[in-house]
Amino acid sequence: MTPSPTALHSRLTALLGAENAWMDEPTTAGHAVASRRPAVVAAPCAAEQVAAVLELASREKLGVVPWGCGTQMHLGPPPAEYDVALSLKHLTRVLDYDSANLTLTAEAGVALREVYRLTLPGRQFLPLGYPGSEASLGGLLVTNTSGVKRLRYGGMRDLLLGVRVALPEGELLRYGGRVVKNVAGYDLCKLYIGSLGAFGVVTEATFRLAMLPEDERLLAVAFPTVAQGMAAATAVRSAALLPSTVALVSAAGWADALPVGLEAGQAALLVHMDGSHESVQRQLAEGEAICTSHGAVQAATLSGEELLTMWERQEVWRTSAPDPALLQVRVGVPPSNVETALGLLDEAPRFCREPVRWLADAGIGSVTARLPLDAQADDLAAQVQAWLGSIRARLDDRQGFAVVESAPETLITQLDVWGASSGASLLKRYKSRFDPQGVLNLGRCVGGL
Amino acid sequence: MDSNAALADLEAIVGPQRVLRSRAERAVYGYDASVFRGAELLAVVLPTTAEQISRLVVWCRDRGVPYVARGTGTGISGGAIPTHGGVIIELALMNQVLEIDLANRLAVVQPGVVNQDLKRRVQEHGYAYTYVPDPGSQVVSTIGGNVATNAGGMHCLKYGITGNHILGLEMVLPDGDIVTVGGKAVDQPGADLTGLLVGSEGTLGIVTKIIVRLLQMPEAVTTHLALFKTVDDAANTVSGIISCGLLPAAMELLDKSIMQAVDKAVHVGFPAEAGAALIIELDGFSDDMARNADRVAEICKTYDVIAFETEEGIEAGQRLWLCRRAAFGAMARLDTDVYIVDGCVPRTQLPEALRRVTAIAERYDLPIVNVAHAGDGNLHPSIPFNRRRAGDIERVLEAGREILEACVELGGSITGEHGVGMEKQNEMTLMFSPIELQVMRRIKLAHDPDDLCNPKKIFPLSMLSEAVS
Repeated sequence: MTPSPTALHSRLTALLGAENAWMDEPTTAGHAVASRRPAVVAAPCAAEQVAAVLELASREKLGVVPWGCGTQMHLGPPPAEYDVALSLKHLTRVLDYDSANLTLTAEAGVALREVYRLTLPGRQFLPLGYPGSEASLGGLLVTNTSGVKRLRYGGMRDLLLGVRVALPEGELLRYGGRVVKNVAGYDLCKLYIGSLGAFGVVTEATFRLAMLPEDERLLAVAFPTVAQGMAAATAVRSAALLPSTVALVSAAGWADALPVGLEAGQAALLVHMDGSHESVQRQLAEGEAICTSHGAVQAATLSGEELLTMWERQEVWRTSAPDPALLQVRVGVPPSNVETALGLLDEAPRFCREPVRWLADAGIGSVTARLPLDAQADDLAAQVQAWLGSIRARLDDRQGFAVVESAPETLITQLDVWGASSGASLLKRYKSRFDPQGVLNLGRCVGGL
Repeated sequence: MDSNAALADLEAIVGPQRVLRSRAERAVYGYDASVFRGAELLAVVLPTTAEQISRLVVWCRDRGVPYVARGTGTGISGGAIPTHGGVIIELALMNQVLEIDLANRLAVVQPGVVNQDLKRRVQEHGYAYTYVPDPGSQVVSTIGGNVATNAGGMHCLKYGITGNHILGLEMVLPDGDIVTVGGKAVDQPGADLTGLLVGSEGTLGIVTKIIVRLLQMPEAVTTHLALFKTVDDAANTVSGIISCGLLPAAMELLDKSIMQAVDKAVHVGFPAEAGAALIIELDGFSDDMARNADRVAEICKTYDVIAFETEEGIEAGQRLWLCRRAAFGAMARLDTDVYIVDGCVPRTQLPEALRRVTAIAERYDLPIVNVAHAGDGNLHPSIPFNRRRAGDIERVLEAGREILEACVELGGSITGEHGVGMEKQNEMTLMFSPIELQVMRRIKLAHDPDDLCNPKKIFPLSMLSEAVS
């Protein structure tokens, strides 16, 4: 039987000290996932304490939800069990910054912007987001969040070298390491990428860093139609250029945020170029020429602060906290099918009260779409689920998928958030061996884990 | 087991021409490129489809017969050795390039496709793209083998290892289920299963389809050969190049011992005072190539380079690559066999690692020579020996273990790119605690509770015998 909140609080206080366990209303409300609140919020000060909390939870069959900087807690259905919010806010030490070997090891609660602060003087960075990002490293890892410059610098799966994890039964383990080439045993680091904490709590991680480019420009170009913008994106991708990002954005939701004017139904192409002065200049010239030949109506080249602002907007768009009036969906497709995906999304379903807003990473094949919901729509959940089913069926033909990233709580609990996944059967097998009691983030990950 | 009945069953699954049963045929599949050999096999089967493999593994499971999937057997850690006999599932006939999809910069291949053949196929199409991973054995080794070992090569510094180039897999699990992980679309929801299964050395299932990334060929390539008095100077040059923001496609280091061997083999004419050679390959846009090459030359000067040569273009660069590519051939002249150690350290620890290798070589009285993927800190101390000379193998393996201990002490790994296989099972304890190994083994047990799929590999033997008892 689950202990009472008071009993649980006193056990956690015994483990962590009174200053690191709370059961007061403001703190538990501040750690709500949708409307579900934990009985107790616990903030361990070290990996060993994380393991101790998990061991307690396992023994008492409690539901634990790990909490980094709390920026992505809307991902996945609300937890089926939620007794303890395991806050990683004290795990904020950078354990090793080895600039000569371009690696960094830090605790999971370290925010990405701290990493920037530390590495920028040496002209290095961790390309998993923008310099001001408040997301924690552990959060980025378990949500499989890569930066918008992934095309050039690689994504989470390319940059993560090692993890330390606490398992539900209290084991504390290290996998991977600090070197790029390391093939000793199974690469268990990868099990934690995108796992939403289903297989253990990441307490520390090692990443490889990249050198800052000598030069950096952002080409923003307005096109009269989505199709023209898409054709230009494809041409840029196929040319002998090495852009860091090739993204297309809709006029809806973006028009005011861009350095070029956009009218309804139009689209803008955003191409980041990183590299030496010579290569950036040349790519810029070729990029502009390609855009002109595809019917560009207006173009702007950004650098410095303006570029940083635009970069930040792109990152924030994909990862910001949800607006309760929106349904946010992420669609993944092979890059050549991005146009088809946008076509599917732009057929605004009846439950949308305004045009769909989107950011499409044409280089990677990932579209983040926001659908403004019509709160008056009849039987909204059934409509949304039917729409999801139909776009999933059509994306399936194109080797793509769609997941719900955020939705109002009344809706998300009725939706199939992740859709079918061919890997789910394997994930279930692992879950039963890594978290047999179902302590961690129960019901939040793919396959209902 | 009635072996005739068993062979009839296998023939019913893959067809009569596709079961090798003669004593000689079975014997040759007991070897790979390692120093190990396997137990007597029941048969070697050559399936052509995932469905056949599914039926084969179910047949094996129902009878408790172990099986090992095998490509071209170029692994040097014993990963494809049938230690417990049973059936070899030879993937040589599954060698089709199923799709080359340039719009998405990927190819879909069967596991038996040879590395070099895929590169050729991609280029035959007139496309300026390539599949990057280039293990030294690429002329004969297969993509399935790359996936099994998470193979490296010369160009990992800039382009990463095999795992970075694999987008998705189809795998037959030991219970016969055929699963797909990853795909042409990236970031499928859930864990990175593709990343987890790459490098599992054929112990979690049999990969039957692989989606690989293709990359654009670089517009320009410049190759440099720089000679230094000491390994330290060469290693400092490597770090200096990286810290100034350049990311060469390759940086390969040879120490004096291997330079002497190479000189004897291909007569390069290294100056007597040269104690280390560095091959540096830059690639990228033509616009900044000359400036980058000048920067490399400047950094080499900072570390007292004694000779520096440059070639432009891939073809011309081969002249400078010769001394690296000739290295393993040159070793073959030193004795009848070569044992190649595969350790990895943080790049800046490479000089210290090589100093320790030298000390170990002296202590064991072994003529160890060194090549290293210096940009990655991946060293390959290589020990010439004669397997027929009494005590040689034992001494060589013992020295190899000490080298790996040193690598781990310096913050590295017991294997950078060759895998654990049989060779390094006991060295796994240098990197992982007993509980870390037990948890890792949960993955194996989740796939293969009967331990029939490439059994008794990767994990320390002591742990495996406990599991049996």
